[in-house]
Amino acid sequence: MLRPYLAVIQDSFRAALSSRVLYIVLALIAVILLALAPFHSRETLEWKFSNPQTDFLTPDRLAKRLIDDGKSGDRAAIAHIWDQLSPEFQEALEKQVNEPEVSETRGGGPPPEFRKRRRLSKEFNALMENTNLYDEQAFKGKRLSKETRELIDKGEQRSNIENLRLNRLLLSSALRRDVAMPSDTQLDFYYFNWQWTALTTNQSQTSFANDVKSQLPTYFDKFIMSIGIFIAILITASIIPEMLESGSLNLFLSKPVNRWAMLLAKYVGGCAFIFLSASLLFVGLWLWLGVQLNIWDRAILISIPTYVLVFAMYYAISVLAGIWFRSPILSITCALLFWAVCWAIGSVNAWLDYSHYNTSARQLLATGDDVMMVDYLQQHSAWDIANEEWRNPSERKRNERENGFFFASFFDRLDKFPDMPGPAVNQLDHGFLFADAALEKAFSNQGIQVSSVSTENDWEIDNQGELPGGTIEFVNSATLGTLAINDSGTVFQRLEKEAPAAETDEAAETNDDKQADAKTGIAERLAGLLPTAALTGEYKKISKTNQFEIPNSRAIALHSKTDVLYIYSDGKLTSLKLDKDGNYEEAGSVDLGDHKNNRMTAFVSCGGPHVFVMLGNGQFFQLDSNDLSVEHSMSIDNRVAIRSMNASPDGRFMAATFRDGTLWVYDAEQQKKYDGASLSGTDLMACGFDETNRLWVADRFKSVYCYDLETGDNTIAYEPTADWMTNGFRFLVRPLYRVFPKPGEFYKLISHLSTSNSTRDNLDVDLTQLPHIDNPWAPLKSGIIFTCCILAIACFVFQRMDF
Amino acid sequence: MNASTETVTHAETLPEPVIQVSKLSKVYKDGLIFRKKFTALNQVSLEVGAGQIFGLLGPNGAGKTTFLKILLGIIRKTSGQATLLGSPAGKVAGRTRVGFLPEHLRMPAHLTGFTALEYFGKLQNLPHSIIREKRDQILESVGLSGRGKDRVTKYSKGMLQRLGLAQALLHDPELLILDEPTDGLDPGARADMRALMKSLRDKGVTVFLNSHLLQEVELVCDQVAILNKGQLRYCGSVDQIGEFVRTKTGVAGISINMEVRGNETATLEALGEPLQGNFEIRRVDALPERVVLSLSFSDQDSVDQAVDRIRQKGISLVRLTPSETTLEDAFLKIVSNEAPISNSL
Repeated sequence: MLRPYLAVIQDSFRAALSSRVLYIVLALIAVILLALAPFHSRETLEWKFSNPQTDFLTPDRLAKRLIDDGKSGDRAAIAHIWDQLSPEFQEALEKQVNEPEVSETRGGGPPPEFRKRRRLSKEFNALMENTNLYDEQAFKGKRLSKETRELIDKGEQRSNIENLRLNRLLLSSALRRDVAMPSDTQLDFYYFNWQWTALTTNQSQTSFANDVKSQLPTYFDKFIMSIGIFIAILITASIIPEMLESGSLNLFLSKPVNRWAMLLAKYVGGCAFIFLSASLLFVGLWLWLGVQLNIWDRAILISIPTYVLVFAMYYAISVLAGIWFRSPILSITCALLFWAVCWAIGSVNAWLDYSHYNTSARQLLATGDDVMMVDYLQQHSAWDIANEEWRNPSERKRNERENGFFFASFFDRLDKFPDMPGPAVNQLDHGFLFADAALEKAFSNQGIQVSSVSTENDWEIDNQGELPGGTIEFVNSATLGTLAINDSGTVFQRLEKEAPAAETDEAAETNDDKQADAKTGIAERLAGLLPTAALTGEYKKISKTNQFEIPNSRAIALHSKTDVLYIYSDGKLTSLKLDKDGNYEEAGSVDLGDHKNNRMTAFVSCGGPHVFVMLGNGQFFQLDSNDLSVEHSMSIDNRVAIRSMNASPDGRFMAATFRDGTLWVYDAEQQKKYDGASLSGTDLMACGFDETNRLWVADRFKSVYCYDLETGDNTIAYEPTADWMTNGFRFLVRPLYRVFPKPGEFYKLISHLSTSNSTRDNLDVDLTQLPHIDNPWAPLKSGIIFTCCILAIACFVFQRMDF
Repeated sequence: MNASTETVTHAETLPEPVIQVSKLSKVYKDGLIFRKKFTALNQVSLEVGAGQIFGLLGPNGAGKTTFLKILLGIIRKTSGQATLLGSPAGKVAGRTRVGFLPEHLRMPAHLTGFTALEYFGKLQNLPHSIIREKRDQILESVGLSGRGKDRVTKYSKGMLQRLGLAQALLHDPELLILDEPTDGLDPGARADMRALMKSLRDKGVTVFLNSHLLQEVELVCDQVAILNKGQLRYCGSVDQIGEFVRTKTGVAGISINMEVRGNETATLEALGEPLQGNFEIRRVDALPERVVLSLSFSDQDSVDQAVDRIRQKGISLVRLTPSETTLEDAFLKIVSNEAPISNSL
């Protein structure tokens, strides 16, 4: 018997249609859309100098070049261009070179540098209109691009825009190094037919569209959602209180309908009305963005149901308050209070989550029962078994890095800090080696300090040394000592310092012997320069200067038994083996990964007879460590970015953690996922293996657990005592946040849905570079559950209330 | 069920009462922590038979509206039993055959006459086609012919009442509950309303009327019930309420209005002496050269003796008529009498 309830919904529409508020809202939406409609873009060949800062690399040098080459005629093309310039501009350039302007520090308009660039921009843009810029003689012998030649060949058949483009290409070719080459296209913006030149950009349409799409969910959430929801609540707040006026309520309640069903029908009617209004707005925006700006983004259409759901949450609160208080003002107040509570819980959770995330494990190393952890602030901590706490062995001031990282992490810019190389297990004395760089060195090419610690010294630093400048990773071998690798894959080995110049004949004779020995090969070299636990000393290059483009430090792995280096770069895995002279040379390579992204993130790990490679696009490979033949490959199902990866020394297992906090353990013998131990969970941050093939796993709260994968047992647990803030976060704030609705976080869901499966399944996409959306479905789930609960309470109250 | 075609059976077995209430009580609790109790209905029992007009009377705060709301399920009873057309009061099934016109009816402002009928008709689960078929006739029957397309905001109070009545009748109910139906109506409209109620009764529809206007109730109701402070003080026919009052309040058996020619003093002297103790003078109206007395006698012999005495004194007897107890009189007596009175005849 749905007829009565459908009648209620129909009546809601009827009421809305007769309401002035509806027409005001619709009129506003129409006005906004009409105002936006004439704004459109056109992609054309780029010819214009629209960004002086990037178009002209060095204005002063450019001016000097134009004058010198232009007047002397040594370079025909530049001379020809000089002749095309206006006399006023020629004079201005000469003045610029001969009478440099002094920087003005107060008043007087824009600084000289800016004025020069702007003048160049203006004059060169005028020059683009010149029909005589191309001169066959002047440009004879000049190296011109294929596009330039094609345009020249077109001759009189060139269109106007092609003429402009040709002139631009000619100018950039002639003045290479001082004038930037243009992009393929530029994007012009128009309002009706009036061009808004300030907005012209040399981005391509696709790039511009992607930029806009990445920002849309956030702007929709902050503006349209927030303001729109507030207006919608204002419009609908009086529906229930009006229904409860006695003159109409008694009549409704006397009808043969269930009260709770009638209330729900009223609720649905309100939501349906808002759905229609939202559809009008969002479809209008979608059409405008698509037709006029060629940005077809389904995020806008996805916003319609999410907007209605967010409204439904607030409206449920408003309905319950309306039943209880029978006042539109109090209904609105309760809805606002609800927003405030959600915002408070979300903000506190985000702050605590961030602070705990930053100090959670990013990398985990284990040797024996000792573990070292690196967190996202790049702090190294070692577990003090006796005192059951994490010890930070770094002698740097903790605050120094923390302050810098605090601001970086606040703005989610931790990715801008380069990875620190290492850490590594010290194979000689079973401690750890870790890089300990001051903040200012993080962006420099200076050497990074490496320190060693071990439990024997109570985690105090017992050795320090400096890695070569440009090192992106270091590894430690029992036979080779410490190896440092730079970003092109060139390998350096730490050697003892050569003996000082002898003062006695006996000492000199000893030195000559030593030098003679040093020339004879690896055995001799190793004999004279055994690796020690010390870290001081020079590093010598022991490979050719390689030309790898290593995407990240984890793309390098050293096999602990064979000392073979594996490097992933530009779609290839390459193995480097030691030759008879103790230098690394390429032994083999294999193409890996069906992608065209030459900077794809890669994690390489090896052990026993296997090498494992996990790419940022989710592809996984198991290879033979000797000949690099692919033994098994697969794509990881979850399509979430990888966070860390390690292989057991015997090569039997490989473990990886992902951004969603899950752990994946792979059995290389079975060539499938390992199901042995109870390793499920969603807060697992990093993993590592020790030399006995035990798996160590760290969670978000810096607890570390050890598992014997043969038996599946958890053998060791290191659980630091949590402070009140951590306990509060873990047991109060986070559970509350999980249960509570999150009306302000639907942009996550929209972003997730608008990043289509084709993007996530696109093997060219590096998932680690995509913005991470933590649990995008959480706002939807908690929102639906919350709304249902509130509606259930409202129905119960309405059903039981005496009127 | 179409009430217009249903025939009211006068079988030897009486039809089931339309409304049956037994020891119905309602206690309101006010406040959040220290809840104050207020008894709105106290052990009320009555029955309303089919095919009659039943009036519920009572002063303000007597519990009439509470009673109605419990029947219609708008509020819940505290104790007792109540059924509506055989279904427990408050159940949806019982309300399918009930039409209700509430007091102070308020129609949503966006409705017209037609859309109001459509809306409330659909709430009664009537198909759209039926509503369209009947709406003109219904509006005509309540005197709103030709006003169907007008917004209700343009209706007068009386027109709204009629529209309310129209929506109550749209689905041909078996029971029509009217709460102050003539409120705001002019005398002509009230007469129309009374005629309509009677015609509905004649068709077999039971009309349950809640009204302050005793004269209206007296004119249309077959049975009345009087509530006072939550208690049922009377339930029975209008005709017998006078007898009821006299019996219960100890008033003498025969009431007579006697009109004589003469003055008040002589008349009273003539009556006083011979008829001591057997009658009661209730009212004396002294008119020019005439006196009208309202007398109560214990029996017929006393009446005869009084007439003989008047004549013996040479007073001329102009008129001798039995005096009727008005509903208003009875009502006032009943609600002022604090002693509990048992229910219906």
